[in-house]
Amino acid sequence: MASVALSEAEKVYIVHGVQEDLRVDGRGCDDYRCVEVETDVVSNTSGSARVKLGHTDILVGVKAEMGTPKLEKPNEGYLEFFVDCSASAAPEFEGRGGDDLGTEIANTLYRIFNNKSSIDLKSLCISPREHCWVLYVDVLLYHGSTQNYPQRLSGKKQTRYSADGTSRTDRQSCNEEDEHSPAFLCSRYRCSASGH
Amino acid sequence: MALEMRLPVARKPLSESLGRESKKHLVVPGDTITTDTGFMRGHGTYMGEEKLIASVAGSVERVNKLICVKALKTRYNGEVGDIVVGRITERRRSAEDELAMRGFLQEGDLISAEVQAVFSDGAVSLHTRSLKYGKLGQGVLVQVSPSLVKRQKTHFHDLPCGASVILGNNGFIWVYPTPEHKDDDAGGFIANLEPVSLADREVISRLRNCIVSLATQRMMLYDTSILYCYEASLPHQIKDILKPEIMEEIVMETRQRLLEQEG
Repeated sequence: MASVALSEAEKVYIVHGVQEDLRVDGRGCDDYRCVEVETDVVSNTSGSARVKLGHTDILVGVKAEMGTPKLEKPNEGYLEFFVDCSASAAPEFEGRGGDDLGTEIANTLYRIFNNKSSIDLKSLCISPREHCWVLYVDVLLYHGSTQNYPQRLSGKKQTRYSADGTSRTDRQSCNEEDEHSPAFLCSRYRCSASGH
Repeated sequence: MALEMRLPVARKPLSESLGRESKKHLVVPGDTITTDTGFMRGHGTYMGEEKLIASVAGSVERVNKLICVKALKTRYNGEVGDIVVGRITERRRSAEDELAMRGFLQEGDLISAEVQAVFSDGAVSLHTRSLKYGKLGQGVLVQVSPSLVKRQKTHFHDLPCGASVILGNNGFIWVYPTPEHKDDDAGGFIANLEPVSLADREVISRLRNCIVSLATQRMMLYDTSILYCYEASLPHQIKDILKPEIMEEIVMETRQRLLEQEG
């Protein structure tokens, strides 16, 4: 990800500000910037969403297909993630530069959604040991290089399930998100203190 | 911890909200400006096949017989005498340099300087031969397009709202707390790392958001426009200024006030 060089004095200013709950753009430490959400943007998917937060712009598409459950979890369906960091997001993503970040984010998403509070995988089961739903989630980062991708991506999954008619998962709006769910914890951990 | 979500809204074209009577003549590279050969060629134009063609994307400006194209968004081109704010990215690695400068300036430091000379390849040489230039201490940097910074007599402003601002011609704008007393002997190289008071911080954050709003709405940046924008933003909370509808409202009010002041 793009790193910004700062002088010592700027860092001191930011840190003192955070201690007084005031970021450089006037937000408190817990305040979000406004998020713009658009659903149903990709026609050949079961559900899709586009989310903009600050400088970052992410597009997610979900395709639901029939598959066989994994041997160790015969009563559950599963999710497959693929994250593509487009070269237009940051210069260092040119060519294969974005692959490492993409893999890292995909792994984080696997960990987030490998949990009962984020998604009920049993609802994806059709008949145990034989058929289940597999949700292929494709993520495209095409602008920006800020720190909170996993948080925004998990938010997007919630948005997208509302557009996805085949899923039986209940839609959760982000405001009601459970404070203790892994997605939320991940976002707190990742939220950078230097407001920009 | 409330998260505000919104649906995308179609952007209104700027000219509608401005209500300008005279439309700017906008061109893109390759557009013919005029076939009249009586004009002198200025910046951003070239002569080809008996017509004057634009080489940059921008608006056509005509002063008597001189036609030039002023680019709307451009990389900074240095002129002698410009004030710039810059960040040190790389330095010479020689022994004398190590001994002399390491203590004062490091990579990542911000400095204010004046352009001394411009080389033919576009590189500029800077000098800080005055006590008002030098290393910058605590504050906030805002980066905007260089074409939005208006050329003025002075680029160092102490605003009445309680903070100071340096409008670099290269688009780097530095907002910082007004120093209480001018330390002449310090010469600007020793940074003050004392915590800045909350009141000053709020002024600085508000100014920073106002500058970002003006830049997003493509308004020229100078002390008066920034000040009017600050005053227009006072009824709102600092963090609300970043919301698109409030940003538009504030900039509209600023524009109105500037027009009134002119005419």
